[in-house]
Order: sequence, then C-alpha cells, then structure tokens
Amino acid sequence: MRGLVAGYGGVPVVRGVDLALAPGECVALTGANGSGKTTLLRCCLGLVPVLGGEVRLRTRPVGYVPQRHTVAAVPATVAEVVAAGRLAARGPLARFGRAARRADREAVAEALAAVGLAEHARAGIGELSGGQQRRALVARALASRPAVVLLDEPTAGVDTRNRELLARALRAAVDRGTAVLVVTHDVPALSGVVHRVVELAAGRLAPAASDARVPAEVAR
Amino acid sequence: MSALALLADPPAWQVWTGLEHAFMQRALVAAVLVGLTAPLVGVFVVQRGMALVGDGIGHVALAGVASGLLLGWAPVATALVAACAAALAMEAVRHRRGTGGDVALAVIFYGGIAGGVVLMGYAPPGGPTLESYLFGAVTTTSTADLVSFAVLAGALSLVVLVLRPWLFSVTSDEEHARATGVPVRLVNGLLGVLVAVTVVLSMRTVGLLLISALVVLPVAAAQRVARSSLGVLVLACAGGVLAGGGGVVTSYWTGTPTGGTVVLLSLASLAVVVVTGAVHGRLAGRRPRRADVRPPAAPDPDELPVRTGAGG
Repeated sequence: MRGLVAGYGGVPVVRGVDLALAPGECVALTGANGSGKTTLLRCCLGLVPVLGGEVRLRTRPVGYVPQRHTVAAVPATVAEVVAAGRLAARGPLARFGRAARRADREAVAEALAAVGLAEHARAGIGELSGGQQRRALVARALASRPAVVLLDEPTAGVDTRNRELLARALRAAVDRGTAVLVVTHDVPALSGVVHRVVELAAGRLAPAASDARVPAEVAR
Repeated sequence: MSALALLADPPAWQVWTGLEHAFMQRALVAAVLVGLTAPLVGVFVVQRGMALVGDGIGHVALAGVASGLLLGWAPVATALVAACAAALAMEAVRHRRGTGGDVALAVIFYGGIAGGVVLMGYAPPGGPTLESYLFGAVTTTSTADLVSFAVLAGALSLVVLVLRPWLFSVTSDEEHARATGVPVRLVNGLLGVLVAVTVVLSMRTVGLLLISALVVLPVAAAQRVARSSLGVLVLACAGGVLAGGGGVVTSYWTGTPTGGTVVLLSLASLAVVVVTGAVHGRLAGRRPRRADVRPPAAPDPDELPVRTGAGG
C-alpha cells in the first residue's frame, strides 16, 4: 500500500500509510483502539473504500480472520465452516472429482489440527466457546493454503496454551511463504512469528518499533 | 382375478389415496417438486435472515400472473419474469442500504399485489381466479404445467447443488466471503432469482400467500434436529417432500384446500420436533451441548461460550 487513505462516508480513518508485505513475512499492526488498524486491514480486502493512494494484493488466495463474525449463528459443523473458507476461495467447481475431494478433506483436517480443533471437527460451530471459534476462524483462513493472510485480533479470547498453538500454525504458514498481516494488541502471543511490528496512531504509521523477527524471549 | 381386471381396477392404495385420478397424480408430483425445491432454497434464505422474502416476491408475482392472463401469455412465464425482476430490485435496494430501504421494498411489494389485483379485474372471464393463485389450486395442474415445473425445479436444484459452497459462504459470513473473492453481489442476486423461481413453482400448490411457509418451516424443523449444514439441507428437503405429498393426500381425504393442508402439515412437523426436543432436553437434564469439557476449577474467563459472534 502506498499513501493509502481510507475511511467511511468520505471521512478518512487511515491517513497516508505506506506498507509493503513480502512473501514469508509476518507484520504485526498495533495501536490504540480507534487508531485505524481494522479499517486498514479491511481496506486491503476491499471492504472499506479507498479514498486516496493505492492498495494492491498481488496474489490470491487470501485468508481472512475478521474481528466480528456471524458463523456462530449458522447451523454447521466446524469442519464445514473451515471447508467453506477453502471452497469459497477456490470456486464452487474446484471441489468436483475424487482427487479434489480428498485434497479438500486433507486440507481441512490439517488446518483443524494446526489450531488444535481436530477432535471438534464434527461439533456444531455454535457449540464452541468464543476462543475455540476464533481458532476455527484461523483454520478457515489457513485451509485454502493462502498466499496472504490478514488476521484481526486472532488471539482475542484464546487461552494461553492455544495461543501457542495459533502462533505455531501461523509460523508454519509463514515458513511456507505466506505473507501475514496481523492486527493485535498482544504481540508477545505471536512471538517467534512476527518479523516487524508497526504501530498505527491516529491513522498514520508511527516509526517502526522493530525491523527484525521479535525474539520470543524479548517479547515475553 | 384376471390380468385384464387387475389393469382395469386400480389397487386399493390408489383408491384410498385418490391417486387413481390423473389430476391427483399430477397434483402429487407438483407438490413433491415444490416440497423438494422450496426448502433447498429456504436453507440459504433462512440462514441469510430473509425468511419472509418469498412473501414479498409472491406479491409481485401476482402482477406477473395477471399480466399473462390479460395478454394471453403463459402466466407461469410472466410470473417468473415479474418475480425475478422483484428479486433483483430488492437486492439492489438492500445493497444500497440507503435511507428508506424498507419503504422502497414496500413500494415494490404492495405495488405488485395491488397492480395484480387490479389487472385481474380485467382478465377475460372463465380463466383461473385470483384465489387460485393466492391460495393455490394444485389439483388443476395440467401436464404442461408439470413439465414447466419439472424444468424449473431441475434447473434450481442443479444451481443450488453446484454453487452450494458460495451460497453457504455468503449466507453464513458475507464479509469473509467478500474478502476472499466470492462474487457476493452476484450470489445474492442469484439467491433472489432462486427464490423467485421457487415462488413461481409454489404458487399453484400452496398459493402466493403461503409460499414462505414451505420455504421456512421445513428448514426451521431441520435446524432443530441436524447439526451440520448438509444435514439441515437433506432433512429440510425430506420434510418438504413429506409435507407436500402428505398434504395432497390428506386434503383428498378431508376435502380441505391443498395449500393450507400442506402448510399445516409442515407446522405440525415443526411442532413435533420442538416438543420432542423439549421433552428430550428435560429428560436428559441440563446437559450442556458444549464441545469441550472444561476443567472444573479455575475456568478461563476468555473461554465463555458465545453464539452470535464477536471475537474481540
């Protein structure tokens, strides 16, 4: 993104942000409430109008973990929700054929295992706790083996043990070459994953807090 | 009894169900087609929180029926055009979410039914009545009607089954669908058109005023039983077929209007499911339907259950 200005109803919330994300890089976006983090993330996905500058996602598929979601009210199993992330990204025709079905099943199982929800695959998504639902959403984002993943507070409501699982799953994705932009108030939870921390203040990028992978021991 | 006599005398079950008559056979096929397709679309409509959209589109379809009768064209075709136009207009209004969205919908819906009622007044005498479309007249279904219904039902089923991942994605989490590249406006428009096709299919069976019942009630019952999205789809369609077929046969026994009978059967099945679920829940005690077993001591406050989203 270059000189990105974005907002609602013509009123800018993000004001002139320059940020690039390379394959295999994880950038944490931090900042106070109302600083424009979620707006910036949603703008990258075309969910908030660009008022100035430009933003480009050069590669697909994209994985997305929203801050708010509606899937909990839907009668569906956890595996179905995760599969929806993969099938939505790949198109409805990509699932036909025995090989495609097997690949889909394996990708879903792998994503669920990565976030520690393998044993809940057949549970109703509405039966999970809030933290488990967050993990299911991360699995949904990873199931399409995306080139880019954007996550909005993925560790909110997740207990300590499962934060480590999430961090491990994201680290594996980053190591596969996935670019990750994560909005978080909890950088230490993603220690060992995040390469750079950038802070947003009143819609503008503050000077970079770190240019190197945040070492686990420092972050903690 | 000779073979000839067997051919001449219909079996007892056919006499008992009224299916010895050709009009009843056509009615049964029409009702089964509707019972299958209405919940197939209804699953996504209910999931989307638009349970009563079929009612609104049905209002406009009436204007299409009246236009067809006036012009001497097939009412099914003109109703389909009017219903599709209404569905797309409604989606455009919903997408804009501008001020007065509800008012715009009211203009479309009530303009449609008022226009339909007035136009029916000019229709040539001797044709179908307004009531036959408002409350259904499945026993008057002709073979040509059946062919049209079968083609529409087949096309609708094929579209739903092929596009199910996108329909599920858009109706379960629209923002995520948009973010991941699903053509959300196209899918929403398509869902509206699918509802319009369902309305046209159903108008002769249950009538335009009762259409939403067949779209919603089997789905509502299935949602109380099945845990998975696929399970809801299969059970809702099975419930719809039973209600449709059962309603035609029951109305033959009782001499009651078919449309109302079909809907009352759907309501009865929903009531059975609700009562059974309540009794089962009471017998099983207050067993939590949680997927995990939390340690009894020191529960993590972050892991409180939520049902309607909002992560942090």
